[in-house]
Amino acid sequence: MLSNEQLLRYSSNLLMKEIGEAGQQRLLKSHVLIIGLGGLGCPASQYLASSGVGKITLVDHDTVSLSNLQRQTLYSSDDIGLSKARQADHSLSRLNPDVRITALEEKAYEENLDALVEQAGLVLDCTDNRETRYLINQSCYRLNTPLISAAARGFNGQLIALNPEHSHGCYQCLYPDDVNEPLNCSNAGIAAPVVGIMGSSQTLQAINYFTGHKLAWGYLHTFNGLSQNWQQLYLPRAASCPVCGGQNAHSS
Amino acid sequence: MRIQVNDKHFEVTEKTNLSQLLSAQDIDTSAVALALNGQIIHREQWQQTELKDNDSITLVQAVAGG
Ligand SMILES: [Zn+2]
Repeated sequence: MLSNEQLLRYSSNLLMKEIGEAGQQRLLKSHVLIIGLGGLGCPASQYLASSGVGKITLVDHDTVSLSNLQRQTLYSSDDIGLSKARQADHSLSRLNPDVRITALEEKAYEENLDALVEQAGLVLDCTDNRETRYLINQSCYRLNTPLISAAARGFNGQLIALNPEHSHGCYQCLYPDDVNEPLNCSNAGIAAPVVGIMGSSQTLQAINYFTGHKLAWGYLHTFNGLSQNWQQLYLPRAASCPVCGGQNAHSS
Repeated sequence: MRIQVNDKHFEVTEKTNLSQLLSAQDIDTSAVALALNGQIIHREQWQQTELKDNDSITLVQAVAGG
């Protein structure tokens, strides 16, 4: 049962047949792991918390710097030098005290990822580097946990929802080359609203998932912020993929 | 035959597979995903994928920032 305060707080969700009271109850019972609290993780976590996703685990080892404030909407000028995980926790807890937040000031790496992924019903990859993206993908496939991965650079954004129980490919299939991206946010720049759109899209998919709507699993969505065009490209599984192919493959 | 690569069109006269087209057009394929008519084609299949008239190729640069 929703309290009177919750009926008001979530009234805009409750008015829609796509969410309604049943959907809101499911959101309140859900647990999302967000890895990375930069330009993607800020809007993703804000909309998850404001929508009433009951449990959110935040992971980021970084501190707030002045150049982050162009796009990282959870932080203010007073937060420079402070832990992103801790500041995000404060900010989101003030936004919605219904939500139980666990904030971890640590880097996601091989040794801690499985334990974090195991507790969550869904993982949002909001990181800023490929090494961690590969590790998150591996962990989600090992533990059969759905993953919504997004990235942005310049005016371009990408998003893909991966479900290890489906037969599409995984992040490793998408970018198998173990080469480092020549450009990243610090040397190529990034348009703040573009990364905001991508982070918000991750949360939109998360809400759709928890409230029982069908996701386009295995489709890479690319967004061009200049033309404002979205494109959908289907990602099949690579037979040789060490993460989702061969004997690790699910057949459904 | 006419082949589209992102927003450019190419006129190709001979039988061509994906690998041949990419090297003939001098297209840098490091850290990109490639889709043919909306479906991503893994690198190991580029050689054996013959192109047809009106095929549309999308090259997507790997992006990892956030
Ligand atoms: Zn794979």
